[in-house]
Amino acid sequence: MRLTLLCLLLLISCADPNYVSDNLEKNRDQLEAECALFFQEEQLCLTTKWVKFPTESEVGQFTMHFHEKDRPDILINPKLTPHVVLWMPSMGHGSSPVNVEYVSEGFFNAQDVYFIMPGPWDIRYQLKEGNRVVEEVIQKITI
Amino acid sequence: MRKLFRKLLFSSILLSQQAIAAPCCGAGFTVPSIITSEDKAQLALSFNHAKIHADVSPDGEWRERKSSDLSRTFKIEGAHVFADRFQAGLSVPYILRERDGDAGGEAQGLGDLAGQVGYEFLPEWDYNPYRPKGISYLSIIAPTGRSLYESSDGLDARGRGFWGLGSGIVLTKAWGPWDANALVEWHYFFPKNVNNQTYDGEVRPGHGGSFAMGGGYNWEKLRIGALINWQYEAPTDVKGSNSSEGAVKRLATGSMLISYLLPNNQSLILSYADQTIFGSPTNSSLSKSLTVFYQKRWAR
Repeated sequence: MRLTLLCLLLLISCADPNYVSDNLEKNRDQLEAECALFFQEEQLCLTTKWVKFPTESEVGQFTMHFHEKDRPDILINPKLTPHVVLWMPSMGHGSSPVNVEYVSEGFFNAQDVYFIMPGPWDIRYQLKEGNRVVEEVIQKITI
Repeated sequence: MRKLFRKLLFSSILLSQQAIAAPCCGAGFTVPSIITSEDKAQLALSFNHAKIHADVSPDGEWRERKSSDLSRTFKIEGAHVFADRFQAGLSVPYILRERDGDAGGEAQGLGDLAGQVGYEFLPEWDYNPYRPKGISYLSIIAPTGRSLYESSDGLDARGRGFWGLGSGIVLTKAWGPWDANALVEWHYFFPKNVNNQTYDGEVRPGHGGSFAMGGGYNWEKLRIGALINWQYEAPTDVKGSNSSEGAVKRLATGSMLISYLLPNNQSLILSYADQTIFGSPTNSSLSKSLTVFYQKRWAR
């Protein structure tokens, strides 16, 4: 009887919310670090820069610069097609598709960057050949 | 007469368990429509208004929602006894979702349909101070609501999106004006191949379960009750172009409800459910919701 009561008390114990505040600046700095993303196959660095940082209700946009590790000033087109996927690994689902547009040599624009819910996300930068993902680098972000 | 009122009110307690709405995108499992009284058939109409209050990450960090993410669910549920101790039921939800912000808007449509067959394995033919009345059931979920994996922006996701099978036991017991109820449920969702711009592979949601217990006190035609439901969902694994192993999802829903017995075997119930009060939720959105139920029963 005592054990049953103890189990019931444990079961109905109140939640202990651990609310955290936004960490947008930290996210932004981390994402914009030089050559934080490196594609081994093509020996190319990817540097991204937020034009508009997304929030839980706002769509974001960032630029993508592909370049050699030691020469960030000279942009180079990757041989394969760049693709961006927003992925929530803990939930096992993605978000709305990101639209990656070619601007000029080695320079792409990622638009419609929208995270459907707050929490920890992966930004998966992929180089694809048709539908096949040849190489992928992952960056963590918390919305 | 008073005893009859209590019995009729008590028969509607399981409606409160149907308020255990999934916080987002139909990610939970529908608690079936079960006849726990001595009636032949029952029909219930309900309206649920839910707002996501916070999101909890797998490491237990809570983030309060600043923007509005609402869902409204209209549901019709019916159950009918087709043999002495057997019954069958169906649940049809229609869901409207509304979200603020750049990618906000409205979406609506049919949610996942649920059907079940129940068997009264512990009948209450004679009074026993301890033995409850028990009904077991098997249920099936049809993925008629669009899943998150087929949705372009998450807003039009209205169901889990997988075929599912479930099994559970409902126990009820009354002692004078007091009553108690419990439900144990297990379910399994089958894997599915998804091929679109974001997904190209197999999504494996796996199994889950829930345990609920509640109680109430009856005055004449009025009943006030409370219920707590603990839910668990196994990690959703994705294999394909975007593979991930997922994480366990856990949350608890606390509900308060007031039931009023109307003439001609009808009941009206108001329920408030909150997923931010109990347990140690993880990897889930947490909502607060208000539900109004109307139920009509037909005697044998």
